Amino acid sequence: MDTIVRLLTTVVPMAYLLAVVAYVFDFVGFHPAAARSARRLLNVALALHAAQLGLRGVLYVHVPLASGAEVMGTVAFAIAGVYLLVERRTGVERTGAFVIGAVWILQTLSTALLEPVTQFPALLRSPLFGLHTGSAVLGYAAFGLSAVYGVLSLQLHRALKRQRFGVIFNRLPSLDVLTRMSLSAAAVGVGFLGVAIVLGMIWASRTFPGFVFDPKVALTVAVWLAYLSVLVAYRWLKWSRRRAIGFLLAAFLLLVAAALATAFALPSFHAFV
Amino acid sequence: MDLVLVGANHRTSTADVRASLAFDAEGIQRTLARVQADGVLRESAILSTCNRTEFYGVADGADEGLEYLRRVIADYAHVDLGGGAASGYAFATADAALHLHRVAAGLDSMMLGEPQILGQVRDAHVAARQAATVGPILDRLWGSAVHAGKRARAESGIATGAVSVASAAVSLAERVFGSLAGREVLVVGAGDTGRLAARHFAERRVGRLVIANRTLDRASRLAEEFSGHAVEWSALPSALVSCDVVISGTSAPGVVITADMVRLAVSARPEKPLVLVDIAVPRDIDPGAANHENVFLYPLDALQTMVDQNLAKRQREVPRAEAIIRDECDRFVAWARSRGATPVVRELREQFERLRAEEVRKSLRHFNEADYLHVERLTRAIINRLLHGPTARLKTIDAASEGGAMSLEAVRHLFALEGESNGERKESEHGR
Repeated sequence: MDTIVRLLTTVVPMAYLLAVVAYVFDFVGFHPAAARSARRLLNVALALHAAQLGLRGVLYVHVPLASGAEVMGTVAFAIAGVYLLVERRTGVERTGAFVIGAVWILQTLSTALLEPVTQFPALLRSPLFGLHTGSAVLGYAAFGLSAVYGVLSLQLHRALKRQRFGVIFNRLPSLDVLTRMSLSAAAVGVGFLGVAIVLGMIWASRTFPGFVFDPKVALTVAVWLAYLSVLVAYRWLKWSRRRAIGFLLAAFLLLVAAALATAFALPSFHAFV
Repeated sequence: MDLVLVGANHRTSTADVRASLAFDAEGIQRTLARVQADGVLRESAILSTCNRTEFYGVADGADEGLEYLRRVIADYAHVDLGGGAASGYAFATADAALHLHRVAAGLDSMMLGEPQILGQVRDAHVAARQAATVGPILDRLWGSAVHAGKRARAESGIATGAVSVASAAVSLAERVFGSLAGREVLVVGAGDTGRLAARHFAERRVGRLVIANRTLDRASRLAEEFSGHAVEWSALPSALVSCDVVISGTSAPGVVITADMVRLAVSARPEKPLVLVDIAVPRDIDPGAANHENVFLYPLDALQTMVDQNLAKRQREVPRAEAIIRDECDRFVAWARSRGATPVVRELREQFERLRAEEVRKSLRHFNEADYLHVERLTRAIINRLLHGPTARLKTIDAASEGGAMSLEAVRHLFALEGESNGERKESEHGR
């Protein structure tokens, strides 16, 4: 089984890459069949990814969130899955090149950094822990989607302001759709990450008596508050959509910085293996 | 039987000639009835739009059919499509079929890939069906052409992008807002330009169409035409506050919408984008209005650039659309050619079936009922297998060509298929 898991780990980024190529062909208007092929390839990539995560979970008897590389892979899977659902529901296909492009980068990093898990503490097998990590993954996936749609929205805004009627102008969904997708994804992310923080606090207080502070928790709460503040300002202070998107992207940069800091610089009890 | 076509369009004749050739719905019915009564054509249809009039027919001979159609046109419109200002075109068989396929795809239109022609081609078929002048060949031809037109538009970029200034204005607004349903559009100026813009936006079913003009009466008339609302000229600044799109096309000598007016309007609704389209010469909208981050201003030059780019893009898609058209047309032509062999195929199969049934009947007494059913099934299967290859090959024969006709004659001779075909031929000659 180990060989199969290794093979899948190598194949999954390649499958995403094929889907990205098809989405790029669709985006530049190469052929109408490109969109259909892209969706099929994404389905295949997701199926392979699900198999990889599932088999790895069975092989090492754990949920695939035990290391930074595993979290990246699971977040990539969640983003791709959520994107596919959004694409099916809205019929908006032309952002696939960017969203699945980001998924491919994330999954490639995950594959490159992934190592076999030698041991997995039994205390992390609590259902509450599963809910906590699942919510966090969905929250981060939503923030990732929000960032991709936010960048696309700013690109289209710029093209519209400068009267550049090129591929960005012609092939992306409307500015309204991109902006709403970015804001909605951020709202969903705030919801899931909020749940993850609360569940994490409850689980940690039960599992680690005396737990008071952890840098990762503090930074995650800061990120969550940053996103929440932008959404509140947009909703109640009548911020323009462009300003709201700009601040959401700043919050995403904070999220990335926090993730890097907790992974490489700050000590955290979140390092379980 | 040959497909024939005689017609004239915007490329081959002047507007006056096209006007004389134009048919209204009643004229089409009358002319088709006359064509049917003359009995020269087995099937007929007329496609008449503002840019073209084309007569399609199915005749027993191409030359005879074309000559007859020219005579009909001369009688109806007093136009001889022979040359000079009144020159037209005439096609037969595969060329005629290809022409209708190209027309349906918008490849022969004044505005490459324009959408209306597909509906007009459909209407021509409906009119001919009402007149009961279409049969299997024109039915199939029209079905194939409409399908090809749809495919060409869906599978190539022949119909993508706005190619008029008014549609470019709509397209720009849609790039910002997506659907315009529920949006408020303010049209400034009630002249021809304003009317054209109002029509394009009204077609998008906008939430509210507001017309502002120096003369309220003209604004009211235009508003009434498109179920909109007219506002006083002095109310223009307040109208800017609630609208999402402004399209201005007055003949005023100076700026009508100042940067200050826009600034004040936007500050009252900072969260909402505002699209300003200036299609006036000289400009109606102060370029300084674009300084606000949520305001998208497009002057006429920008719209023209967009139109030119889209036209160039459509032009680049022509080879792809042509390939689709040829693909569909080839299928139609192959089908039409195979029709010549259909009677021979039918007779051949009937002959084999008759012989099979006779032989089975002769041996009937040797079988019980269960065996008889097996023998029936077995012998039918053998006949089907034996005839499968020859039938498929016969259907590829072009009965109209000399070689094809000889092949069919050889099959008739070889299998002694004399009776029915001759009977049909005689009947058809008698009918003529």
